[in-house]
Amino acid sequence: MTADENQWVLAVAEGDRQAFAMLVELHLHPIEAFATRMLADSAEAQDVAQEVMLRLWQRAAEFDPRRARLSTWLHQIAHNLCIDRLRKVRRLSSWDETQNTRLEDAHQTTQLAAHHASSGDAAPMASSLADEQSVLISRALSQLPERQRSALLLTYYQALTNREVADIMGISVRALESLLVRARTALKQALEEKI
Amino acid sequence: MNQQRVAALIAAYGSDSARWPEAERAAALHLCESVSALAALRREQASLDQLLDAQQVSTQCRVADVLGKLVAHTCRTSTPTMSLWDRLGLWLMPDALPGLWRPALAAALPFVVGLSIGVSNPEDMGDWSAPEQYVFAPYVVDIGEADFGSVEEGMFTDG
Repeated sequence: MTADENQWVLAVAEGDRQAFAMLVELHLHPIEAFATRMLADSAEAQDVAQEVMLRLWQRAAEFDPRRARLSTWLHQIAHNLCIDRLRKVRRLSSWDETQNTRLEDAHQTTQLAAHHASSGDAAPMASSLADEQSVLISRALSQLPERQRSALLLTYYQALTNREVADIMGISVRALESLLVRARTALKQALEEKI
Repeated sequence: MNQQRVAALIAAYGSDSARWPEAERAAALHLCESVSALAALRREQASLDQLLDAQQVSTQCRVADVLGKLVAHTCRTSTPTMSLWDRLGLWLMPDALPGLWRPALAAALPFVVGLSIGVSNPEDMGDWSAPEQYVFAPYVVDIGEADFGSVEEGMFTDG
């Protein structure tokens, strides 16, 4: 797959839209999932995912397969875009806890309503509990410090090796492990209080 | 590999050995089987892993959206609004390569300027001898100063 991917990237660098479509098909959803968890905002995450794919089209010639896998390269772009957006949001708004919670509650309500509508209320109680739990985890993740969140999400969900995640974040593997331990400890503590 | 390192791996990567670094996995698993404290540590981390595994996100982006965005972006960057000069160039040389009219026009500029100066400042050239005199005057003076006298002498003596 990696060898094929590298060929496709070369083709994309020469303007091959079919090769681009195949790469988008492969990488769009994992990148969007990462951005969704990172930003806790699905609209923003969609923007980021689309922007990453646009960068792939524009900068395919810069990709060096000897230095990284395509997935790692795309995750690095996505990670940088997410960090930019998080910092921008922090700069633009005071982002007080009350507002944050209100937004998340609204998001939670929307998600639950959408889920119930799609599941046809077959087992509303069970799914409601699962959804509530999912929202609590999502909120606990979003309250982790930025670097701990990046480390945990990239390592746990994105099928990247610890070396790749360390490269994406520009840190050593030891520093990554330290972030992971702190992230898991904080997450466990936050969830134990609520679940 | 020692117990401390395995404990660090569990604390960082969780209970699932598939998430541990590949190079250390086999040795770490071997230790886990023989040390009960490490097995307990794995069970403790397993509860958090279950919660993390349960946290699913739905993705809504469609490949078609991205391709549409790409087309829009390509249109925006490859066909910029043409300036008046570009339109003029295209009108003058419709078959020329894009941008070729600019160097062609630059090359023709000295000719155009010269022609326009000549046309706008016509000089009365009725008597052609006057300019010729001005042109050759220094040459004639130089020759006169050098050895014109002897020739004149010859001329007069012959006459």
